[in-house]
Amino acid sequence: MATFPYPEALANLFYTQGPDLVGLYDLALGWFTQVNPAGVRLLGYASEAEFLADPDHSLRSPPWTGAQWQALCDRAQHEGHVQVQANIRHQTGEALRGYLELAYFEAESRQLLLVRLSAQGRLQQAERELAHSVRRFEAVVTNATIGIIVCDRPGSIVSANQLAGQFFGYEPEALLGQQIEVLVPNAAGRHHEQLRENFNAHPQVRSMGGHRALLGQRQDGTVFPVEVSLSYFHLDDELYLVAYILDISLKKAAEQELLAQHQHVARLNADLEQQVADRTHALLVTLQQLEKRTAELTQALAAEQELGELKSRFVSMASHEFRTPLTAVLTSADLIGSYPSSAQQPERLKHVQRIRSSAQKLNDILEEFLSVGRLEEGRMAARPTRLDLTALLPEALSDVQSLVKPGQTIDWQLNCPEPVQLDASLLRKVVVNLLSNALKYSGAGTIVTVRAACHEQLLTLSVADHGIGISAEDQTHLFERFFRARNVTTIPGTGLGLYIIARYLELMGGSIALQSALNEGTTVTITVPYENDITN
Amino acid sequence: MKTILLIEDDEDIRDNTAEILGLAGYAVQPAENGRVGIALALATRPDLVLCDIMMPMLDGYGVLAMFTQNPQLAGVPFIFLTAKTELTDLRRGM
Repeated sequence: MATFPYPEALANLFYTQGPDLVGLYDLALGWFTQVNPAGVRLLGYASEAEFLADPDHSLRSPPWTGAQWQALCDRAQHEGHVQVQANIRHQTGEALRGYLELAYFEAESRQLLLVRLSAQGRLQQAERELAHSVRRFEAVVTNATIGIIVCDRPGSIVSANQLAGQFFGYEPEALLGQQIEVLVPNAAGRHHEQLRENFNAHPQVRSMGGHRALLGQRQDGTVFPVEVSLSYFHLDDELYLVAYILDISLKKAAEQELLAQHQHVARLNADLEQQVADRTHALLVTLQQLEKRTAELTQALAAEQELGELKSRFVSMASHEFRTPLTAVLTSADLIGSYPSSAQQPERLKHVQRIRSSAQKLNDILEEFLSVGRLEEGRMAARPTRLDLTALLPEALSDVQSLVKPGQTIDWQLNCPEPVQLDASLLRKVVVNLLSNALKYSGAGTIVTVRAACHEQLLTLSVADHGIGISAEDQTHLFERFFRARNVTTIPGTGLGLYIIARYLELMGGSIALQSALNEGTTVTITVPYENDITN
Repeated sequence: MKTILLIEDDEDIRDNTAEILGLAGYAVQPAENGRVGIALALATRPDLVLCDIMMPMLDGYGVLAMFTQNPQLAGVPFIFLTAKTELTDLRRGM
């Protein structure tokens, strides 16, 4: 240990001040001339000699340049004393927070600084850090945007932040010491204490109300929707529960609003769809009506056309069929006038007969028209009476004798021995018509074959000729009023015959069928059901 | 004596017409259809033809066509006797 040329007090200072660096700094030298062992240790030197011999002459404080250090020394020289908080670097590079005091004095004509560097203690540092940490923590908790409540195991609130108080309508301090249950509506009914006990037994971090609405109760008794997360911590073997609380009134309101909007939109959509459906339906109905109307119009047009065609057919027929007998009547009447003498009586009689037969022809045509009228008015009905076909057929044959052409023959066979119940008048008209058609539309020298049979209450009668026949196209119109096949337009006829007899057969419950080929001939077959005659 | 060829299928009309013309001093050749009428006309050229239109076998238009085409018969005056009154029928007979 070196001797100290300085006052005893200073020496004491060196060695009694525990952990601080104390040293003498010679301003002229620019470095320490003495330093205590604590200082050597503090700055990490092996010995005082090493320290004093350090050629850097620096306290290794990087922020300080040589000029700054010089300025500090100058200040100490002028003001006598300087204190600064400083960051000193340990020789090993470790940072050291320190408190530097420089005191200027002169001794033995040397300008000296008494330098004292006290490192700030670890505890001191830890205390300050703890204080900071607590302040930070408090700031975080206090100003958190989530309500935070800490309670102990029995459920007594030990801490609550501002927002938590605000949520529940309490001053934050007013919550302290309260049971957590005061914040839960109907806590008793919901076994909240039991739930809390369960949580205490198996504490875990979890969120509540994620799937269902939880409610919080304010001091004034009103409730509001909350979302709660729970966590816990142990402090000195004591369990503390932490509840993080969010007031989700606004969120819920927004959700409600959103839901309402959704419902509104859904309703609008449904309305729209309904409207579309209604309109579509209306459109379809209109379309159907339109189609129906079109069909009606088409039908009306067809009826109109048919009527027009009927009219022209009638005019064409009437002009010829009426005019021919009328011409005969007129010319015969004129000729009668040309035979005044009694010797000419045979001539006159011939013309009288001609007039009579022409009038008869006109009457027949008129009769046909009237038949059509009666048929269409539904005024005709079949009146079955006792009918002997073996008598009816020869009568019909004699009716058509005048139409038989030279060499034409009628070959007939009848197999109906028993009398039947049928309308004789209608049946006779039918048979006469078929026979006259066959004779009219087949040539001289041909045979007309007639076959009739009664079997199981059904009369079947066919008339076959070898005449001009009917084309397939004309066959489809054959039973229409005034229709004449195209190959018979030069042959007199009203075009009513087949129409009338088809209706007569209908009245009798019978039917008519026709087979024909052009230039080969026609076979017409009628079938009529009858009742057996039981009058005898 | 002038000869008139009368072609008419209806017997009553034919007889009456022939009778009226005969009484008026004409020689009448009656024919019951167009074919017979043409044959008669070719045998004896008539001075006038009276012809019905609506007839079986060969109608009046056909008879007229034969007359105009046949050089032997061309130029014989030809009159249609008909019940046809429609304008198209008249036009067709010209």
